[in-house]
Amino acid sequence: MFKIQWVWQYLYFTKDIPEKLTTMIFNSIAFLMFFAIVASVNYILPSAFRWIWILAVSIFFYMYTVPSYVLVPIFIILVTYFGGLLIEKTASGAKKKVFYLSCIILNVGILVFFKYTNFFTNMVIDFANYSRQNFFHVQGTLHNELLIRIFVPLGISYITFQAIGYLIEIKRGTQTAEKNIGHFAAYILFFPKIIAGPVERAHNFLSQINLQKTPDFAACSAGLKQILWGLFKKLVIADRLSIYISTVFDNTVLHSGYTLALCAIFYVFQMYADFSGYTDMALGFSKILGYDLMPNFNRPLAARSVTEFWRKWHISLSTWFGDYFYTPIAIAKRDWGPWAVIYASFITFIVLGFWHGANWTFIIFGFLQGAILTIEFITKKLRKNVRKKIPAVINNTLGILFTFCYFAFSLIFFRANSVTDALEIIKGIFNAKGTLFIPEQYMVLYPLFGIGIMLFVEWMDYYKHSTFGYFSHQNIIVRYSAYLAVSILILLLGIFDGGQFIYFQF
Amino acid sequence: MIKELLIKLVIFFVLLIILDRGIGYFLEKIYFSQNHGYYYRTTYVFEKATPDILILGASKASHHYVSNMIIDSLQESCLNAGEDGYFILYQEATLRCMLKRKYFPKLLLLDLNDDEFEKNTYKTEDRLSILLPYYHRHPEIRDIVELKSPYEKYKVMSCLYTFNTVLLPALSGTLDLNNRKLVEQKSAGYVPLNEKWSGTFKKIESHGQTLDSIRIKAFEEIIKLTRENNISLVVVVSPAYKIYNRGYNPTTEVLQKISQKNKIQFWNYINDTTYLNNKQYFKDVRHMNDDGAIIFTANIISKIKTLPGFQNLAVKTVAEPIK
Repeated sequence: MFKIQWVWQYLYFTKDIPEKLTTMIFNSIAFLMFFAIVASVNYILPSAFRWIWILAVSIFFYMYTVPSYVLVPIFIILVTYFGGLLIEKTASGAKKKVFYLSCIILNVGILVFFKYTNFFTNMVIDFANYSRQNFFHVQGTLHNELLIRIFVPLGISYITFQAIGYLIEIKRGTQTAEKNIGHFAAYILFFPKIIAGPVERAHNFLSQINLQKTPDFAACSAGLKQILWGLFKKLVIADRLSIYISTVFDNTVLHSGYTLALCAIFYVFQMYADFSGYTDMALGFSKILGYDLMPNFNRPLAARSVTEFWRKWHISLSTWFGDYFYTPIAIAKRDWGPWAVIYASFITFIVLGFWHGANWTFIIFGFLQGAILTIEFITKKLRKNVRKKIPAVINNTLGILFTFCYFAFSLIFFRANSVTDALEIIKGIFNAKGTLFIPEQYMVLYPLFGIGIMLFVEWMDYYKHSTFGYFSHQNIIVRYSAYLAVSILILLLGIFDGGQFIYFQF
Repeated sequence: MIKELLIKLVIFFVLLIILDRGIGYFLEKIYFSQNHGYYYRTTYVFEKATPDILILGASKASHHYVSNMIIDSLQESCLNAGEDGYFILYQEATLRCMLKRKYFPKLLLLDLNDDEFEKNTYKTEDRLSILLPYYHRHPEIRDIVELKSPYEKYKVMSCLYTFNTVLLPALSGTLDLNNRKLVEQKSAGYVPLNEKWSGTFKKIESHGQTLDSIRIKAFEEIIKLTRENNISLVVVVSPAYKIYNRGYNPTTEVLQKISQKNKIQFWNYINDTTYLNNKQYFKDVRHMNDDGAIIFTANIISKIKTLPGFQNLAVKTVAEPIK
């Protein structure tokens, strides 16, 4: 019997995730050496040829893990490029709609196939087993014969979303179809944003390729500062917190409620430092190459409501969902009045949660966001009236604390491997007895120190309307002291090669 | 543009190197002036200890061998240099450092885990960070440290990197905030565990485990070093509250094979019912508590007395387990 696994094995889809992938993450020496070469050649080349170099390097980057995986984005690029041209060329009507929907369905189909096939087939099998045992009283369990072991192609979620956004803008008439397939391919595959975004808008990036801007000193300098700051957040805060959090969350039954609660709080900082640190590096590398990507974070931990939070967290994704999901749904259902907003919020955030991963935990994560946004929407006037009676500092503080705690709670589902595990953690927070688990004081003190620095810098940037505070100070001594202090902290406290662990006797 | 950027980068790196050396110098002073604490154990064993009987291993070593019992029974100095969470490569590094300063113990008890060589037990490179502060002082272990990553030999050019993470623990060790020194000296390195295990056996299905050739090579290197320096070596897999399916265990199979080939003693306590039938001897599936350690040490002592060089010792009463 022909097995689909044979095809995947031929195309290397079933290979274990290559170790090569870890050597190409931004904080690896291999990547830094690779980037130094890329940036040097990029600068030397005449501006008209830079996009070719960027495209070649991006393809190389993509193929570095498993070469055959590049077939997937190439297919997406071809479909979307030619689809975009057809959509633009065709006069409005049924034919235009057919081209448009076909391209969207192909893109969504690719994403669903690679990311969600096993989820849906497992769901069907689980339902079948449940029905057999509870309704038909049949012994034995079915196994998922359709389970396929696929390594999800690198950045597939980001690639498909960029492609879909591009097609929607062309259909709306707000974006002209790119005539140069090379430019378009460079936009889709641009390597600094392939692993973790941002979900870049086509008009922003393509206009920069067409402009053929030469990277200048200011851009390179800003880029290097942003990379340094991103490294600090990733290595000193996120990776250090990850050791402690993994030790606890991988053995939740052995820990007290205090420890689980502390980890839930820490996990917010780990997520933020990891994601924003990685984004800072992506933006920094892009700046050095002469491209400005859209910012992805704007002090989300200072948000006073969850509504505000989602305007500041993973901005590229939330605005994508806002523009292409939430707004069209709300407009389509506007006859429902306020229920249109509620409906659109739930659908948008459940899909947003699901986008993060093929697990019920992510769906619940999204549902929780939709729920709180609905509550905030319904209580908007009431809260506004209450705000008038409370001093602003108390109101803001309570708002920030509530938003933080709610997000921390919802992240428990995001972090857990299953809904059962998440509920165990929540139960443990309120019931588990025992003392706070701190194997060595520095394991908590170092990341707290890093978090303190990060929050201080963000606070200063906000009040002084600056970017990266002391990195941009007018006094050269202050600037260099800041660069050196952060570099020293990275060397002293950063986690390199995952070479740290907590020895925990079980 | 490029010239201005390069000049500023050069200035930055020169300043960073100067600070790296300067701060690194002070960190080295702090680190190596510790006289108690977690990192001090490693420094003491690497650079100062001279016991006649040396126990090396990971957490099972540090919690299973009551050094004072060995001292009393065999009238030989003994040091339990077991280190929680650090495995065969660390033990090889320890031995190399001791041999480099021309110190040769009479007997080396090398306690290994029953899954020591299995790749998925732990990541080898994760367990080498503790050796970083010793990289420059101990050339004999540099090749072991460089196993951490392909670029390690470049990263250690930074003095600060070699003291990554250790600042607070080193300060704590210097100040002895937890009063560990006295405890460590009295127990000669043995760390007793007091809880009793209430769970069930851990049943291990032994198939398909990939073995790590680097760790096997480290074990063979230890055998070679002990042979070259006339050190009696005994390899021990001390008890664990586990049973292996069909008695097969890939690590102990390899240990048995290599030990036989090199004619060294291999004492395997896995599946030993003396311990498996007494749950009260265990703190968890991997580690015995103090009661179990006393029973086990007594057994080890009786076996050591059969070894050449230890056979004419007067019979000593072995301490009874605490009831």
